[in-house]
Amino acid sequence: MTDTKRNEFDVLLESHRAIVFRVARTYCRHPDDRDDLVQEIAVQLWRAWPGYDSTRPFATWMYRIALNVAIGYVRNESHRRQHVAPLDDELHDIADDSGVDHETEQRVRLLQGFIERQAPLDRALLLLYLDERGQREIAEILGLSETNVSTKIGRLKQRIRAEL
Amino acid sequence: MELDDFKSAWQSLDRKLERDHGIQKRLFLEHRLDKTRSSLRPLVFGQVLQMLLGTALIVLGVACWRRNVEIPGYLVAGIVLHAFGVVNVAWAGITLGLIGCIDYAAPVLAIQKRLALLQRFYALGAVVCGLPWWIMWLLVVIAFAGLGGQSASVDANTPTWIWITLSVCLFGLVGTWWFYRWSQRAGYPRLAKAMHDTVIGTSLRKAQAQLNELERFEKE
Repeated sequence: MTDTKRNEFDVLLESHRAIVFRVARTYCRHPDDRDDLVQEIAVQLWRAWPGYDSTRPFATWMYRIALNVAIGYVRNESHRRQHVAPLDDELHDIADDSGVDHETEQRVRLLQGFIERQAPLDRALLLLYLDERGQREIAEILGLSETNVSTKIGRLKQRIRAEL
Repeated sequence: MELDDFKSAWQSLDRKLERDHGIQKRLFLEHRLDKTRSSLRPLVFGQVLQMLLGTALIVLGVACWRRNVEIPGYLVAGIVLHAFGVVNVAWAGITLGLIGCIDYAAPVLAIQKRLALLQRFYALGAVVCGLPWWIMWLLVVIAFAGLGGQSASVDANTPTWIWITLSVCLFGLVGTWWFYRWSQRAGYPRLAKAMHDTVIGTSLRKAQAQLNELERFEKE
């Protein structure tokens, strides 16, 4: 790979890295698991980079790879750590660091609990929706029709309403 | 509460975690490919080993049947080992081919299906290439005996110990299969599940469950 191509990759990766952290956070509760997953996603992105079609949106390409790796990762039970993750500490820190109110903290806690109860593919859908991706892009990332995406989001909303 | 009510909360967590990801950012940008494990790497390694084992069985089988064309016992043992070796190599080769075809940049549902199919194929391979070892180990012993240059002096009759051992092995193989079939129909769910996991393998059951889940997700 040429230096130009590598630099281009670094720039795009830097500007979109939040996607990878979001995916890792959605699928792994324990910080060590998250670090492992982030690294595994980064490797797959790097490997797939020569085949990236620059006429297509980078975020879509990145989401596909990150979600594919993450779902494969959580399906492999040997990766999961048995001990409880200190998610609560992170949630408290939100309030401490950024002046976010108690209500927001409660909402994040509820949402995180809801996400953890979902199957891997539903988590992907939920993550993409919360990240404000359009239905067409969600359909393209997941490999579903737009109608199907719309129906599934409707059902997710119903479940949230009923459970939370 | 509505799903949209959670968007701002989600973004707050996003900002917080973004600030705390200094270490991940560093790992992220270093491209340390060599130090990172890939979840498929052990599978690839296992398939390479299986190909080597299969090749060794082919070499042993061919050497045995070519030297003992006149002696039915050695001839059959050699041919069976030869065939079993080919099955091992082919199965591992196809699995490696399936692994090579996985493009993580493809849509999520398509790749997850492919991964589940790969897992099912791999798990099935463990049964096809694993269960026959009830008998294959004996054929390996016979084939080595056939290489020993004793063929000319070997009695036309197969030694009794071979018949006895072969009977015990066959009984073990058929018995395992019969007990498995019986356990699936006997109406004891825990026994049925335990036997299914033992004989068919937990991996195969999980792969099938994943495929079912993917199909449900696609259709619902």
